Amino acid sequence: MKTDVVIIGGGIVGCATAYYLSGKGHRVVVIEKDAGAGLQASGRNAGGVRQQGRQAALPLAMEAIRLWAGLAQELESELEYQRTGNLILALDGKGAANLEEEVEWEQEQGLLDVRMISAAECHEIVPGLTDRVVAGKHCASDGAANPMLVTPAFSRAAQRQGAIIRYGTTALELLMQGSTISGVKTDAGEIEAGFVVNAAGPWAQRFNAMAGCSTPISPGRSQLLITEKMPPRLSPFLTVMEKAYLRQAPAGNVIIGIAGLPNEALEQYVDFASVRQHAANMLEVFSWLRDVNLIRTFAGITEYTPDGEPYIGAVPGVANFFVAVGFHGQGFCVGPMAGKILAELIDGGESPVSLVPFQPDRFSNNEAGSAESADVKYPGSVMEPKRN
Amino acid sequence: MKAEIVSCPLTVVGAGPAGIRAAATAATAGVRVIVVDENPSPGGQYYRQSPPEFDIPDRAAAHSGHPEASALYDQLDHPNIQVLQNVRVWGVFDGHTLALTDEERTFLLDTDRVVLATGAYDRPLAFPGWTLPGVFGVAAVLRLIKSQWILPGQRFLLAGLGPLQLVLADFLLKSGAEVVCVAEAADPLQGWRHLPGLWGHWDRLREAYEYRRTLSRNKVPLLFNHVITSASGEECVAVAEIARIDRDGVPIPETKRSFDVDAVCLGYGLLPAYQLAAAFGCSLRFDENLRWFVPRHDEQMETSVPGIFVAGDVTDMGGAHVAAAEGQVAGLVAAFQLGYLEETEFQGRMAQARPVLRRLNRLAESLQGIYKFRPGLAHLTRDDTVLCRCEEVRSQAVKTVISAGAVDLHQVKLRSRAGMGYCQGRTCSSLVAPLIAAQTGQALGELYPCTARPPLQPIPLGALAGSRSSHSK
Amino acid sequence: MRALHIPPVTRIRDDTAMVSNEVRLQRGIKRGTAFEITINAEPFTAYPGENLATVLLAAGHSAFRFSPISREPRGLYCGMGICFDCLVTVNGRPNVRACITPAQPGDLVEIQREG
Repeated sequence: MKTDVVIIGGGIVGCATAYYLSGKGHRVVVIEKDAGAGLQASGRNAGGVRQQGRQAALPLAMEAIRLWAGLAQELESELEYQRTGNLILALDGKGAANLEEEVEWEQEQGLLDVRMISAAECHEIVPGLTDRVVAGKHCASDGAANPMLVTPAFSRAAQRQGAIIRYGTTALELLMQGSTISGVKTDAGEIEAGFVVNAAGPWAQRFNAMAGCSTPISPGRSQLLITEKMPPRLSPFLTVMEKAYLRQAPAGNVIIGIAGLPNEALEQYVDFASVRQHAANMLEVFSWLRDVNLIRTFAGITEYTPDGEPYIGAVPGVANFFVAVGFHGQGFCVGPMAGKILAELIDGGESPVSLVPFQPDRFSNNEAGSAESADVKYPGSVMEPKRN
Repeated sequence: MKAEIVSCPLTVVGAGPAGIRAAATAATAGVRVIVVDENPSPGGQYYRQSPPEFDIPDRAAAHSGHPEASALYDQLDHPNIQVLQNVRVWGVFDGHTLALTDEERTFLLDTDRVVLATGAYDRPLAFPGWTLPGVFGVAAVLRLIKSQWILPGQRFLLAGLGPLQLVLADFLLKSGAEVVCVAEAADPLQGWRHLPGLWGHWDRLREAYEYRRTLSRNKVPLLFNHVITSASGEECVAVAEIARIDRDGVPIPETKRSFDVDAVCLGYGLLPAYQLAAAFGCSLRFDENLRWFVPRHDEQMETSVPGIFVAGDVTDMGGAHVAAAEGQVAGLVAAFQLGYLEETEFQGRMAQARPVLRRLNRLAESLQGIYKFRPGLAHLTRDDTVLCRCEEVRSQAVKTVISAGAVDLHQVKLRSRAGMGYCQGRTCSSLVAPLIAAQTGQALGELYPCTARPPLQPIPLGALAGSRSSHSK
Repeated sequence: MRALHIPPVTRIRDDTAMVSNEVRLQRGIKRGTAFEITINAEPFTAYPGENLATVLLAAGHSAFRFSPISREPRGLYCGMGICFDCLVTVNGRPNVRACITPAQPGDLVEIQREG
């Protein structure tokens, strides 16, 4: 089979790339090992579409928010995207001080509607909050959407524009002619292409290694706890520092998320101790959750990089090979923008945002030696303050 | 705060006939057993007990009409058996640790062998109006009459597939209710090849004959090859419509008949409550008669996961006698595996138990063949018929997401919400899967149910975190 | 002790009315001492050992709730706690399964009409 671009991975990044590329008239084939699009991390997160609390990816997130504004209309799909704000809550002085530093830096970067708010104002925005909250950081232009709807919407829109998605197909190897990419070998045959995009998330590293580029990625595990439906009472997307994040979906269920657990075996399981711990954590902040029923849980595989930033861009040393992976915690918001950027680059254009912090080979060329010394840090069950 | 952990060699989940026999068999061999049951008293569905607060002169009546029941419960009164009533298993962690709750707190149960005797429930059947109040499952009505001693209506239409309908009709008539019609979906001519399996089970055949006689004495029409096609009413069902079905189980419009009723009872067979088995990782097999999935087991009642056993309606819906016989086998094997039985004694007792079970299974299989689920029964819905009762997802919405590319139960759940609610797909999975099969051309047997994740039933966050009454750290 | 008020409740079907107490089967059964619960603030009789579904049906309530999205009447269906259709609000707590919850003296039961 022959096409213009092969994309490895049918998550939000892969499907968004397919959508934007096919929109520019390129022939695209997406290779996805699962039976559908977005069944991994892209569909297994709490749905936050957030700018605040980022580091180098903040400009990327800000561009993404502009894109999200028109996305449902563009994709002709219901995404349940709501701009109901994002609120980070500090439970002690140290946390509050960290948030204050973040505000200063974020406003310098151009995120103008982020601001510190008092405990009293936190209580106004979020009824039933514990007295332990000392301060909050609020960003009004942040919001949330339904992850289970977004990637399928991208894949359908891409297919309407002629993209082909091969489900149940596993990519095995990169095909190269010298130092130029020439396609992908899958378990269902070879596909010749002028360009290849690696959007394979936690499974990305082996393909990058084949291209001689080391992109340290370690898999993590996130868990989501879903409660029964209740009348609307939680409006913004909430992060409780060092505890968990949660939001109330339009349907009324409250989604509580915890991330940062190690996951060498790439498994999706829910473990008792952390679920119990996080239920307890949430009850500290919202005591009214005590009588609320948990009705389901699920887990997802996430990916961590040594500096917490993704790899986006052309892979040096191999022509026409691009990568966009390593997005832990930001894939849902930033993924569509990463797809758009890759489409631009492949189409011969430029990225609207500097990709210097996301260079795929930043650990390969590491002065300290090879990638082995670039250890991946897991946030663990502690949501670490972002700035130091 | 760490959760309390208890441990024991053998855990039996479910205190119906299968669970009781498994526990008793193992206990008498010396095994310490914990029996976990979510109901207030043992007996399961078959021996549903009346509340202890009711003073019932007739001993049999106090146990849903089964005098042998109290002898069964007595078997739980053994020094090696600890029974936890009103406790449910809500999760399996690390492959062998059970998480339990009584709605106030949670604790863990570490165990070496598990017998899952979690039973079955009325098979949901969707048709226009099936969600109306007054449309009950057979188990609901039997339970209301036999253990709560209340009649939930005066004029009943019974519609179903299987001999249980006759039992219920008989009971309703004797309780003073009216039965306007019994619509039986089975085709008596198609089931003839299974009749040899009924040979020798004279007591059961005689019972069936007696029930038929009660119906004719009361002039209750028993119509074969008939299904319910709609129920209508305002806040309660007032009219029920039935129709004759053709060879493929499709209703023939010209044959529709309506009845004034105030209650409809649906008895279209049972579905196994396999969620806990699935949570253990036990593989399910597609049963052609049932046209749905059951936990796979070998001759020793062991599932695909070593050390995890199934017994009773959760795997072979053959009634209480099959359940008890399977429970006994599971208990024997578990006791042997745990080292409480010598090889010769084990083989000897198995040699006695196996023929009994085989004989009972032959009857059960014959009945399952005669009353096999007719594929047309899965297509009685209209576009506006609710399929997922919990999330109010209608047939049209499900068909739309299938057309948009959702090719399995998991993806249909994510995109339509069908299966996301309280019951986690117990009611709607077997209703949604046939639609996926029809639209995508997949075989029903390829549409494996969604992964069973904890909690298997809702648990209050306070109970999960610690103790609900004092949720502090 | 004041007499318990058991209002006659009619189950409307054609022009046939039915008094609530007739739904409880007698058969020589002695139920314990009756107590009172309220359903939508109206008092009804209950007996020890009865679950809420029983009392609701005896009181003539077939519809236990109205579904949040399409406001359709729902009531008892599976009778064994797995379908979650028989949900009522009890003493302020929503979404309680009536079929497996014993009635207690003084229970305040509400037919759910809001989402």
